[in-house]
Amino acid sequence: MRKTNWLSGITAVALVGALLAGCSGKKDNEPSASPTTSAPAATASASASAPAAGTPVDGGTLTISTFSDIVSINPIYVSDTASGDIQNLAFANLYDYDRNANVTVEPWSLAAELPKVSEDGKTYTVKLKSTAKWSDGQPVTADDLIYFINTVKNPDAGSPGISSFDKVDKVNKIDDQTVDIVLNQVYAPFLNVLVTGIVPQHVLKDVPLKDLQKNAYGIDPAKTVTNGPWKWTEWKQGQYITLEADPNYWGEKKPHIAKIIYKQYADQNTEVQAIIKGDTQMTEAIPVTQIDAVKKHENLNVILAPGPQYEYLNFNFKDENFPDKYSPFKGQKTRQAIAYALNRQGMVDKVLKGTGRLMNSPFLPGSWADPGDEAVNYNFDPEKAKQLLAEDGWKAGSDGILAKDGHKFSFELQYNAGNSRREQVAQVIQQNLKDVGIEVKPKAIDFSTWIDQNVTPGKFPALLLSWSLNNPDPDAESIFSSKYFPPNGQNGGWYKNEKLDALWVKGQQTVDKDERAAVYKEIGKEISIDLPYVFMYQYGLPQVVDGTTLHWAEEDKPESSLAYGYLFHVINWWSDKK
Amino acid sequence: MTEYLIRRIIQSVLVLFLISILSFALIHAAPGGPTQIFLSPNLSAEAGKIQAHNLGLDRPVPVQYFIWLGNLLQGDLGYTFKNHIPVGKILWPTVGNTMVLMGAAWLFSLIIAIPWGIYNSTRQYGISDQTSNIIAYLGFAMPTFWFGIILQQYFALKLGWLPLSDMYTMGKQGNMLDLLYHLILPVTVLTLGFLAAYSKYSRASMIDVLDQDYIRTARAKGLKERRVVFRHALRNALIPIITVLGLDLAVLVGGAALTESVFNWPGMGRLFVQMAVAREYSVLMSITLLVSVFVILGNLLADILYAIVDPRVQLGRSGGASS
Amino acid sequence: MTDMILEKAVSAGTRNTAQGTPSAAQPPVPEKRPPGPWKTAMKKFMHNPLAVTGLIILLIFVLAALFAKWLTPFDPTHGDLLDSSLPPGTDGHWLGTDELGRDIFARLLYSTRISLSIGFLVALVSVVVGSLIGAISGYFGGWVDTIFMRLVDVMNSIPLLFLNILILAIFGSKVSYMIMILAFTSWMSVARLVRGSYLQLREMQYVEAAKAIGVSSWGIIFRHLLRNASAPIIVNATLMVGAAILSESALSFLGLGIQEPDTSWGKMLSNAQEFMLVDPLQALYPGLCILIVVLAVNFIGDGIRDGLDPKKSTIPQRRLDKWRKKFSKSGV
Repeated sequence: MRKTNWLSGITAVALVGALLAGCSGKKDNEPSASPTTSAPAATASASASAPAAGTPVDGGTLTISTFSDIVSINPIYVSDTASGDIQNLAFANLYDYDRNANVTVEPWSLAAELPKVSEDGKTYTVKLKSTAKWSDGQPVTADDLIYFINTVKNPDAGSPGISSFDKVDKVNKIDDQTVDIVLNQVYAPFLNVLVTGIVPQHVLKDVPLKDLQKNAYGIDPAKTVTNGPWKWTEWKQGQYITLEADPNYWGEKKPHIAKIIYKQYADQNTEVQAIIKGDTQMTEAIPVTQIDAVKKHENLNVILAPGPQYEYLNFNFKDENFPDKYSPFKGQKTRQAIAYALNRQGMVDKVLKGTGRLMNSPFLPGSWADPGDEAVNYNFDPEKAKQLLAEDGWKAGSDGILAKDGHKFSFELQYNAGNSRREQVAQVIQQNLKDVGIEVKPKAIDFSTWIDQNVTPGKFPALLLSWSLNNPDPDAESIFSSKYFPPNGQNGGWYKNEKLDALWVKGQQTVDKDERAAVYKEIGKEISIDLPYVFMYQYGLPQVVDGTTLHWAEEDKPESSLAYGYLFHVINWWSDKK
Repeated sequence: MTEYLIRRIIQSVLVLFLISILSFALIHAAPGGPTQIFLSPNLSAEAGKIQAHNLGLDRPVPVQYFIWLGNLLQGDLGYTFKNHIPVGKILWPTVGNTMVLMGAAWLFSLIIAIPWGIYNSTRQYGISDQTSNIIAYLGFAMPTFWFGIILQQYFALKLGWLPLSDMYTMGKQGNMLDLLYHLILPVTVLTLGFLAAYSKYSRASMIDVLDQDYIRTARAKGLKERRVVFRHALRNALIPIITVLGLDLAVLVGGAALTESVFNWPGMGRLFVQMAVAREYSVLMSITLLVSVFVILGNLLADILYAIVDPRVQLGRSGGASS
Repeated sequence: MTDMILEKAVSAGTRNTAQGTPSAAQPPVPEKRPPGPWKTAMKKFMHNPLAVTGLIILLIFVLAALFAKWLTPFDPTHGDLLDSSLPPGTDGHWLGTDELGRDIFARLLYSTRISLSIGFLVALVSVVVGSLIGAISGYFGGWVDTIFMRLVDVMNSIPLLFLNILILAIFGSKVSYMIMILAFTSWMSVARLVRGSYLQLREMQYVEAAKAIGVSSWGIIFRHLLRNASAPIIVNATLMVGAAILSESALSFLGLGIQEPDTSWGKMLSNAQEFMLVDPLQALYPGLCILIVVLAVNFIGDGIRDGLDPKKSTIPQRRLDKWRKKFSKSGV
C-alpha cells in the first residue's frame, strides 16, 4: 500500500525536524462540504492571486528550494519527497492525475489510453504511446513496464513499492506497446498504483537484482536514462541539483522552462529567507507561522489549501507497551472521552492558524470516500468526557488523576522531535487531558530512531503522527486491519475490529465507485465510533511562489490536494528568470 | 631531531588508530546499531536480511571494523548507506570549500590581529588595548551562530547589501568576485573569534619578550624604541604566535560547523551536521578521522616549527605532560 | 572559541603551578602565618571591578533561576492558545507570549535554570572526572599513566563539537545526556593539571619528611593538590561553565540539544529562528542572556586568575615599568 507511507511524506519533514522544523498547516478558512477538494483550493488561492497569465516564454530558469537532499531518483527506490520531486521532473508517469485526483492520460503520460479492465476486475490492459522515448533515444516499450513491475514485486530488489505490486500475479506482453497485468484478486485501488514512473529495461536488465539499489542508475546523472521533459544534469550533494530541458524529449508538448535548479537549505525557515531575498522562486512548504511574514512581500504568493495529509493520535491496545502492563485505552467510552476532551478546533484555529480541517475518519474531507456526517464528530466537551470516563469505571485518585483497578490513567505520548506543529499540539493534548484527570507525558524522539524503534514495531503507549497519502485511494487496510499487525503492516497500535477487517477487504474488492463509497461510509461510521485513533485534522503545506518571475495559465496552477501537487502541470509553466 | 620526529609520528599514528576505534565503537553502540537504522521498515523480515547481508551488516563488529580500516588504508572511505555514493565524492569538495572560508577568515584576522596586538603591547591599557580587550571578551562569550543570524537579518534581509547565504550565486560558480561577496558575512563572524585569540596572544607574547634582558640591554644601549620593537622584539615574539597557528590548522579545517550551517556554506562542518541528522555513519567517521589527522598534523607541525625557529628548545627529551 | 578559552586557562594554570612550586617546597613550619594566598586572592578579586560586576550578574541569574517560581506567576510549559503571540507588556506578560501562549519571561527564567545547571554541572563533573583520572595517572605512573595520557591525546585530537554532535545524534538528547557528553569532552585539561601537580609532588623532599613523621600519603597528596592545583582548576572550571553554556546553546540550536517540554536558552533560540521574520525579539532575549552570563563567568574566571597568579602580585612594579616605557616613547 504505497499510499500510506510515513517514510515518504514525513521523513523529509522530520529530517528538517531535527534541525528545527516547522511543518505546518495551510490556509482554508471555510471547511467546505464540496465533493471535490479542488473547489476550496480555488477559493483559497484566489486571494493569493496566482501569477498572471500571459504568453508563455521559452527559456527561463526555475529555482526551487528544498530542505532535504535526494536519495535516489530511480523510480524503483524513491521513497522520500525530495527524490520524488526530481523523479517527477525527470521521468514521465505511466498515468497522471487530473486536478480532481482522477487517473487520467495527459499528453506527457506514457500510456496512450486509460487501462481496460477485464470483466472479472483482475486484468488491466495497459497501452503505451508509440512515440515515447528514453533520453538515450531508445523507445519506451512493454518490456520496460514488465521489467519494472517484476523488479518491484521481487523481494530481492528491496523496493519500497513492493506492497503496492504484490497483488500482481503476472504480467504478459501482448505486443511492443501493450501489456496485460493480471492480479491475483480483485483490488480496486490498483488503478492508482499505475500512476508511476518506470525504468529502462535495456539499461538495467543485466544488473543482478540484489545489486540494483547500489547501481549508479538513479544516483549518477550521467548514468540515469530518463524519459521525462527534463534531463538530470548535475547533483552537488547537499547543495543543489540541476535539470535541463531535454532537446530530444518525445512529447508533443515541450516544457517552456529550460533549466530547473533544486537548491538545498538547512530548514524551512532559511528557505523562507531565501525566497524573500530572491534567491529562489518557489518553495514547496513553509511553516504556518511564516505566512504573514511572506505575505508582506508583494512579489510572493502563498498558495494555501488542505493537502493530502492528516494528523492522528494513535492509541496502543497492547498491554506490554505500558509500564504497568495495562493499556488504559481498551474501553470504547474511554477513547470517546479522550476525543471529547480534545480541543481540536482550537488546535486548528491557533496552531494551524485556521489552515486545517477537522477529520473524523481516515478519509480526507471532500474526497469521494468522505463519509461526511455519517462519521461521529466529537466536539470539544470536557464535561461529556468526564461523564464517559466515569461510566467506564475511572475514578479520581487522591492526586486528581483518574485510576481504575489500581492503574493510574497516565501515559507517555510520543512524537518526533523538531516538528514545531506537533510539539505544540502535543502540549495542547497534555493540557486538555489534564483537565479531565488524565496525565499525559509528552516525549519527543528523533524521527528516524523513533520510526525504527517504536512506530514500526508497534512499541509505544500512544503517539502523535501524520499520514501522508501518496495516492487518493481511500483504502487503508494495512493501517487498521488486524491482518497487518507489525511486522507485516502498519497497524502499530494492535487495533482489532473484525467488522472493520471485513469491510476493508470488501472495499478493495468492490470495483464500482458508488458501491465502494458506500462501503467506506460504513467504515467511516464504525471507525469514528470505535476510535482506534483520534483523527485530528487534515492540514496543508503553504507553498510560496515568486509571482513576478514564475507564471502559469489558470488551468495549470499548483494543486495542493495532490501529492506533488505543488508541481502540477509544471511542464506548462514558464519563468522570466534567466 | 629525527628520532624525536619518528617517535612523534608513531605516537600520532597510535592516537589516530585509537580515534578510529572510538568512533567506530560509538556508532556500533547506537541503539539497534546500524543494522536497524539502515533498513527500510517497508521491507519484509526476509528482504531485510538480504539487504543486511548485501551491506555487510550481518558480520561481527570487529570484522566489520577491520574491513573498514583495510579499505580506509587503501583510500576507500566507504559508501553512503542510503544510496551507495562513494564518501570521497561527497567529502572532498567540502574540504576545499571549508578551507576557502576558514583560510579567508584566518588570514583576515591575522592581518588585523598581529599588528594590533603588537601595537597594544607597547601601549598597554590604552584605548586601543581596552577595545581589543572588549572584543576579545565578546568573541569568547558570543554564541557565533546567533551573531551570524543577526548579521544575516540586518545586512542581507533588511538592508539587502550582502548575500544571505551560500558560496556562490547560482550560475556564477567559480567567479572570484562573487565568492568574495559571499565571504564577507561568514568571515566577519569567524573573525570575531579568531581576532580575540590572536590579538591577545600576540600582545602577551610581545610583552613577554619586551621584558627580556636583551631588550633591556638594547634599550640601555640607547636604541630607539621603534627599533627595539621591530628589530629585536618582533622576531622573537612571533615564535609563539607561529606555534599557535600550527595548532589552529585543525580549527581551519573543522572549526566552522555552526557558521557553515547558518550561512549554508557547502563545507565539511555543514556536511557533518547534515550527515549526523541523516545518520550517514561512514561519512561521519571519515570527517572525524580527517579532522583528527589535521589536528595531529597541526600539533606536529607546531612542534617542528618551534624547534626550527627557536634553537633553544630541546626536543627529544619529552615524556612530560605535553605530547 | 570554547577551546581557546580552555587553552588559555591551561597555559595559565600550568604556569601558575610551576611558580607555586618553590614555596610549596618549603617544609611547612607551624607558626603564625601571614595572610594566606586565598585571602589575598579574595582581596584582589574584590578590587577588580569587572570580576565583581561579573559575580553580581551571575548571582542575579542564579537567584532568578532558583526563585523562578516566585518571580513569575506563569508556568513556562503551560500556554493558553487564546493568548498566543501577545506583544510585550500585555496582561502581565512582561515580554509577551510565544506562539503557544507561553509566557516568554517565564520561559526565560526556567531556561536559565537548565542552562546554568548544565554549565555548573558540566564543570563539576569534568573537574571530578579530570581530577580522578589525573590523580590515578600521576599516582600510579607507568602504563596506567601512558594509557590515560594517550586517552587525553585522543580526546584532544578529536574535533569535540563533531564528537558532541555525533554522540547526541546516536543516543538522542536529554538534559542528563547533554551534561555527561559535555563533561566527557572537557575533563582533559583538569586531568593534565592534576597529573602535573602529582609529578611535582614525587620529586619533593618534604613528602619523604612528612611520611617519616607518619602523615598518611593520601593526606599529603590531598593537601599538596589543594595548595598547588586548586587555583588553576578553579579558574579552569569557571571558564568551563561559560564554555558549556555556549556548547549547549550551539547543540540545541542544531536541534540536537534540549527537547520539549524542557527549555534552555539554546532551545529558545532555536525555536525563535522560526519567528525571526515575525518577532525577532524572541531571538534577542535568550541570545543576550547567553552573552551576558558567559561574559560574567569569564570576568569572574579572569578575576580569580589574576587574584591567584603570583606573577601578577608584582603589578605595581610592572605598571611602573610600563609608565617608564611610555614616557621614554613620548620622549622620542
